[in-house]
Amino acid sequence: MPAMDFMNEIENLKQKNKDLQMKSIMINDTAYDVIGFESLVDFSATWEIVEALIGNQENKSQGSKGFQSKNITWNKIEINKQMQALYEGKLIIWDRAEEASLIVDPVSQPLYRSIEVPVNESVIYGAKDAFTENSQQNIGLLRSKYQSKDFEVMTTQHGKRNRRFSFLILKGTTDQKMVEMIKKKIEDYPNEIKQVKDIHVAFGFSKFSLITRVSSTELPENAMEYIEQGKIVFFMDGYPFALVMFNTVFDVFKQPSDSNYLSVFVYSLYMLRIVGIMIAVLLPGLYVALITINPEMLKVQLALSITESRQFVPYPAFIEIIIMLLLIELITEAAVRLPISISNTIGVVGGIILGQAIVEASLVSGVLIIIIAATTIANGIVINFENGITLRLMKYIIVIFSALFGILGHVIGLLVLCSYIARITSFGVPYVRWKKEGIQSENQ
Amino acid sequence: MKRNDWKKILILLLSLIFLSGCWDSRDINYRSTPILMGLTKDEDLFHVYLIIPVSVVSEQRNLAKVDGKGITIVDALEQLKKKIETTIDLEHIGFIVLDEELGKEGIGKIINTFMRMRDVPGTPAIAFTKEDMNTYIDQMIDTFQKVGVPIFGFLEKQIGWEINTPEVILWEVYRGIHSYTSDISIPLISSNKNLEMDYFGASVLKDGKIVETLDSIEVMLMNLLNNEENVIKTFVTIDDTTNVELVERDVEYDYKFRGDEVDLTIRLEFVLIVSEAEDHLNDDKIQKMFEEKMKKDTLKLVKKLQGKHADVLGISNRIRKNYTNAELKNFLEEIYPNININVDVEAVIENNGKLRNLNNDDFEDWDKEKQEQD
Repeated sequence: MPAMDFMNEIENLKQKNKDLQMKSIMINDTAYDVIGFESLVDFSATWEIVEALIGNQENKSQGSKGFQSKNITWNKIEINKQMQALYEGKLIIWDRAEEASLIVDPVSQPLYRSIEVPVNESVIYGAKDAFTENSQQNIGLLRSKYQSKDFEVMTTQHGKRNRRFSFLILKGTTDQKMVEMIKKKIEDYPNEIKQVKDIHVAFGFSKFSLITRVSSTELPENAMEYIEQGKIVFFMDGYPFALVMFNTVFDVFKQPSDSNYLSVFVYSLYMLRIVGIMIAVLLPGLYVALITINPEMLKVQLALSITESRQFVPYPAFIEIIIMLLLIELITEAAVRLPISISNTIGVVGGIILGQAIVEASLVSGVLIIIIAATTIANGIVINFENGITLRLMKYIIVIFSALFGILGHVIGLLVLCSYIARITSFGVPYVRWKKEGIQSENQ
Repeated sequence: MKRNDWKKILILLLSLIFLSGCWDSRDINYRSTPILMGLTKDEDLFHVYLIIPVSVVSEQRNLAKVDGKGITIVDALEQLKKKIETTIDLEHIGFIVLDEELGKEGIGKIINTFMRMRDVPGTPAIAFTKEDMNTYIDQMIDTFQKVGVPIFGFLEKQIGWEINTPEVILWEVYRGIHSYTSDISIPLISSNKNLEMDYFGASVLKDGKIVETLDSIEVMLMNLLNNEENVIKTFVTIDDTTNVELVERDVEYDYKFRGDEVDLTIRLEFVLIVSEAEDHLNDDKIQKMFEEKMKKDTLKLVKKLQGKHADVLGISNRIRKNYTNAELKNFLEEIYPNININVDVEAVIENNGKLRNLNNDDFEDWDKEKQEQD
């Protein structure tokens, strides 16, 4: 008896999950059961819908005419499907007499935050909405920006969590084959995809890559621009960022919302960012190289004032700079972990007390504090926090090479980094490429 | 990554660290960086002086004098190094001052030694001093402590260089000594109790020996004849009351070959501003006086140098491509003194100081007309 089966199943479920609700309702002398998770469904608001639906049904059976939804049909649905629907936040209306059920989209509990201003990527002139954890909402944000039939969404679900991945396709621009391939890679991945790292693994990228190949953006404006450039953008349910594949080296210092400024200013901004990147990567290494191995490259006056500031520093420049860089990394990380109200204190402690006191105690030289400050500030100038992390790591490579071989090592380190960046590809599409629009793999 | 790759990377990293020898390098605060080297000879021993900046936190920057004696220059430096706790790093030496007596004996070997030494850069400025080196160095340090001026700034282009100082650096001296067709002149200085230094002009070197001395006006002419130097803010005194400022200068060397004879016309073009003049002189007169003076002085300078078989103006250098290597060997002795030199000067007065000068401007007629009307 399927009916008994169903009721048993529900009773069973109710034992295990206290938030499962089953309410009975009598309409026109017919008894209905309304079943749903209290934690997912707002029952008091849904009640009206249920009444209207069933009332509608009654009217329909009486043959009256009027507006009614044709989709709603009572069916004998498999138990498994019904259970799955329950877990997805749907409501089941069970007709005891006919042993048929109806799956309804209820008013759900407010489990998702509303659209807010971006937290991680701040814009001055530009759209101020940001993605949220709900990927339906995110797709909606993009659809509102591209109101055309060319904009399509392809969805797949993966794993035990039943996590939804939504790919955004712009007809004529997006490489459909590539999307199919990526989708298949996700579907074929045997393990659970929990974080972005698992996506990297699913795509077969190295875990030790310095450069992120699946980058995240919080801004719908950016995401839309990337779609129009032919990059592949997709959402992972519960991750409040759009994931972008095939980003290029130019995305490190270019942002779509830049174009809201004067063009001249935009170009100077690009220059500024390139200079900032150079400072962030090269300056600490340059300090080590000039202090330890090639002081003859400094002007006499500069050499003397550096000597003066390093007078009582007891260890070599390499150790000195590593200590300072480590401290700065600690401050940065601590500021991220701590609540906002306390993280300001960290800034004061780190900046004023540590900076001042560490020089007075002759543990590091005053010049180094300037270098570290410039590096840390310049590090923040790049677009996207992920790229900032890349720069943070890269400067250590340069520092090590500089400590070993001086200015020569500095150049070698830069060369090593450049060749590393140059050989990075994802699915045959190089990371360093000039072509502005579309993606073209090397093999084509 | 395969397991084998890790081994390779480990070996690479280890060899990178152990083969680099980076532990031998010393930090900047364990190095002494002399900025000036003085070289003289005491009887048969070389005597080397170094001026080393000493900087102590929260105190005024000071200079220290260190000296050492030895049979050779390197030996003297070694003796000197023994006296100092830190490493001596000669890479920051900006100036090398030589005793004038050394110049009279010949500095060819000394310059060769400096060129050979890896840690002396090729760029320090070279000068001769007339007085005792010890007094000179003491005086320099004393002046620095009193006034705090950058030491030897008068030889540095960005600080205090003027057109009447020759600007020579070590490798140019080396080139001047060994080149068949060009020579070099080195500034001659001494210390002074009131000022930073006295400047006596320049010594002309031939094969490393001083053969002639040029005064500061001749040095200025020498720099004017070289197209490279900047002439802005250069003043030329024509006579007791007249002075002009140069705005622009152009030099052309025009060679003509008639059999074995070589004719050279030096064409000088100047743009001037009158900066000091008597009222009765008008622009034409000043221009003529200037042209005559330049022509006379230039000819005199060239003749003087030709007489000494020394070429600091680059006259022979410009035609060396026309001669074989064998001919070039004796070029300065045989061909250079016989070049017939002619000087052409052309001057344009750009303005006469923006003064109302009745001899020059058009106001004269206008004044007359006004008087007639009255």
